[in-house]
Amino acid sequence: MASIRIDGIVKKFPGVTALDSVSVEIASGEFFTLLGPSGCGKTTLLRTVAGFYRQDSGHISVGGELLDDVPAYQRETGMVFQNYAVFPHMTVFENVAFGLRNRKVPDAQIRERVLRALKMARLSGYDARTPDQLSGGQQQRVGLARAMVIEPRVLLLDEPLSNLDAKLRVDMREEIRDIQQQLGITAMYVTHDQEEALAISDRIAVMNGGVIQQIGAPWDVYKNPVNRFVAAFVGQMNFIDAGSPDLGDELAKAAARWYPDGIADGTELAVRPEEIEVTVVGGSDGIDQETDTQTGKPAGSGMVSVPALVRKSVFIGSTLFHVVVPVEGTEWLVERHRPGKEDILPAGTPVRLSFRERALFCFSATGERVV
Amino acid sequence: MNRLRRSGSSRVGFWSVVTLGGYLIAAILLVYPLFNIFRFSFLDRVTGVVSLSNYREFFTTQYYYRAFANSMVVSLGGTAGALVLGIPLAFLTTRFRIRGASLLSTLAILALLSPPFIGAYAWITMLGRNGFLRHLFMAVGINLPAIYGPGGIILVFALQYYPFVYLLTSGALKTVDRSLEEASENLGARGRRTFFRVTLPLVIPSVTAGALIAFMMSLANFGTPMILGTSYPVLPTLAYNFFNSEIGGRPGLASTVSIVLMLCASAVIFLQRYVAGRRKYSSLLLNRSHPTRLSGWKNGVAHAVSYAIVAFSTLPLAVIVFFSFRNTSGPVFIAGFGLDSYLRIFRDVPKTITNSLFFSISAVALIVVVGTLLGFVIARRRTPAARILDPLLMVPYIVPGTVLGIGFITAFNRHPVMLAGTGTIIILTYFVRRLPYSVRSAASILSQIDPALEEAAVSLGTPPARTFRKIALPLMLPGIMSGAIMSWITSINELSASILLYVGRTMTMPIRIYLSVLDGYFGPASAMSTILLVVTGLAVFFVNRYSGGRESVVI
Repeated sequence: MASIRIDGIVKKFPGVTALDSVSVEIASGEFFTLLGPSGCGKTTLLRTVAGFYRQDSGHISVGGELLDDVPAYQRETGMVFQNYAVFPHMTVFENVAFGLRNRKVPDAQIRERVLRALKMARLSGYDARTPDQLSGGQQQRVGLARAMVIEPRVLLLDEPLSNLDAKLRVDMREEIRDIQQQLGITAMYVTHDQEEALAISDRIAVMNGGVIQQIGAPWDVYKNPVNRFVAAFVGQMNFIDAGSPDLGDELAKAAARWYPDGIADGTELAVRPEEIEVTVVGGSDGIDQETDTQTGKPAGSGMVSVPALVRKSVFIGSTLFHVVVPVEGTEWLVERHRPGKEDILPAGTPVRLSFRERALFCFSATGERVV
Repeated sequence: MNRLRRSGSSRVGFWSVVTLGGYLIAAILLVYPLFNIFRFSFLDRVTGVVSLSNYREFFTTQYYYRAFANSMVVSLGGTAGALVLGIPLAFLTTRFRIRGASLLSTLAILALLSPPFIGAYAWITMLGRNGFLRHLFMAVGINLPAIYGPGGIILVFALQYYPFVYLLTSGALKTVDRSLEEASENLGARGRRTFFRVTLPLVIPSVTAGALIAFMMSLANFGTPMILGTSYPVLPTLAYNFFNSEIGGRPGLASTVSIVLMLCASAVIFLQRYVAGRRKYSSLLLNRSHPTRLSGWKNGVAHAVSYAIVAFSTLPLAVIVFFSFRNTSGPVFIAGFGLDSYLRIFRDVPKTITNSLFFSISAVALIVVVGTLLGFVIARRRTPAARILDPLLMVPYIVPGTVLGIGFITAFNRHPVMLAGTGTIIILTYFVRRLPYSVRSAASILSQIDPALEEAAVSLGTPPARTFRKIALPLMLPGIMSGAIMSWITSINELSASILLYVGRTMTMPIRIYLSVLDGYFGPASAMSTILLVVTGLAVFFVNRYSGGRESVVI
């Protein structure tokens, strides 16, 4: 169990800067996730910590010890791989025992520790199997047990769940989180799946273009994105050009809150799908119609209402999505939980979208959050 | 808690040592001999000063530059013949159900791997001046052309090297995703149009790769033109004769011819890269194609053509085996069958057999160890040193055996390295000639092994050498085994370099066969060829077992 300190890491590959001066401090026992699209540098950073890449500049230390010149095989990092990397020519037992044999652990102790690790990974009784007799999920449990059994100072997980099917992915992420909590081990986890990151992490670093965009607890990253990239990448976000002439009075008024002296070019307003309430215009629901009149209240405390047309409704069981068009050329997504059948709207239905003014975000032309 | 022992930070890595070893091998066994040839080619025979006199002589003497043209003729002819035989066989056996297709493939491989001049010699017994087929046809009034000269050489090349085209093309055809052809048909292209517009273009890179190998092998082939082309010089035989002539060798001219040979080979390689390089297709291969069953006359024709091609190429081998059991009196075959010829070789030249076994096995041991380690360096190490080593180790591809032989003699025939006349020089020849194949094969085996396996071992605290031993090596082993057997087959059949390097006590079986053929002692030559064939056949059988029937390992 150790803290990780990553200090100004630069890593260049021919033609691309994979990591552009990345600094992070990860506390001992923390579950820390690197989240970003493919090519953002998250895997490069993980592999640099593992020692598979040598950074061009910057320093990495674990538990206060500088690792820059320590070869990968002496770094005491357990690693879990996307494609499991279970040794196909060894049994499950030998796979898990592999790291212990490198450490010249006595046989009796190896046996005890391997069986304990297998039990923890819910693989008891599988020790004599060979990897080709295991499912993908089981193979990844072997990978996890194998990395855990050496009691590494940090556990590195490189998209360990992305080769598993959706349901298994959810189960396994809970297991990984539970095991990490039980052992109190420091974990560094790489994923491109924002939901997974939110579910599993103590803190998340959202990366793009070799740069960390934001570091924060899942709640903060989702609710308080620092820029347009984080807002769009973590969860769903509806954007609208704040300079559009068709913006409508209420949105324009809301935008003026950030720009009292006129809206800068390229400014965008944004709101999450789950914040929006949809009402059919001319429907019987008079109460919603009346919220329109609340716009006279002080800025920031009221509701915003925007007219729109329904493009389509998509029903996926627990949730109903409306794709709506508030301004020609802009599509928004609206989420409705516990939908009733009457909520499914035909294309072209005129609706009103209403949401709390506080749910609105504003981003500048450069993508920075305007507060 | 158990921790890893830390060693000091200043230490030379295991793989750096291996890489360095690779450079040493390349420098001593490749660069130095080839540089010697290069230097000799520019030394004037009389004055010993640097000049272009050898090149001038080569390109102005008709007999010499005709050898260049002859080489082109027989190599292109052989390649064309290989394509004509190889492509139809590949299509027929992959697209249609042919009974005994695996037998056909085994026989084709056997024809490919048989000693390079056995075919030539067998055709002499059939179509030579006293060939039995000629006599047979003459009896019914047909005068078949004699086998000597370019026609015969092309025939033998085509029959020996078509399996390269066949194996590569059928390999590619098997991996063309059936969905592509279905998509073409779905879009309205009829069978023939689908074939010419979709299927054939997809396998063109493999077809040209097969043609390239056939051409390179034909260009470098020494034994066949030596036996069939007494008055038809080609570059390898010219180089050999310049070097080995009893009336005073001409090492300078031999070197010049060698340089010309290597330039031809490189030019053709670049040409093929250019043709195939722009067409690289990868396939998801979700939908394998299955051979369809033909019926009626179509089925008959498909079978007849497939069997005829293979039978034609297997015929020489059958003839040899047959002749080996005929009774002989001196150089003459007489009536009756027996084991005379076998008894004679076991009585007269047992040393030849033990030599062949000892040299080839020693070479294979070297090839396996060095090839596997260097293959790992090339496939897994991303250092600049490893990247340069890769093309360097591929150089023997373009060095014909004759050229390597000349290079070795000139390089290792004087102080401080005096290897001429030893078994060592022959072992080293086998080793160098086979090295690029074994390095490539090890590298390609590794490319199918997920690097994450080795990284997993490293992250669990395994040092580099131990990672190689515990993870990469066991996973590579089946591939290494079949590669080793392939190396052994080519080594035990090697002639063109060892013919320049042997002395009486380092005589090998191919050399003995070659000399017996020249002397007209066909009986013992047949017997020894049969032994080589049987050994080769057994080896092919084991390769098939190790490779799980993947025929591509022979290439």
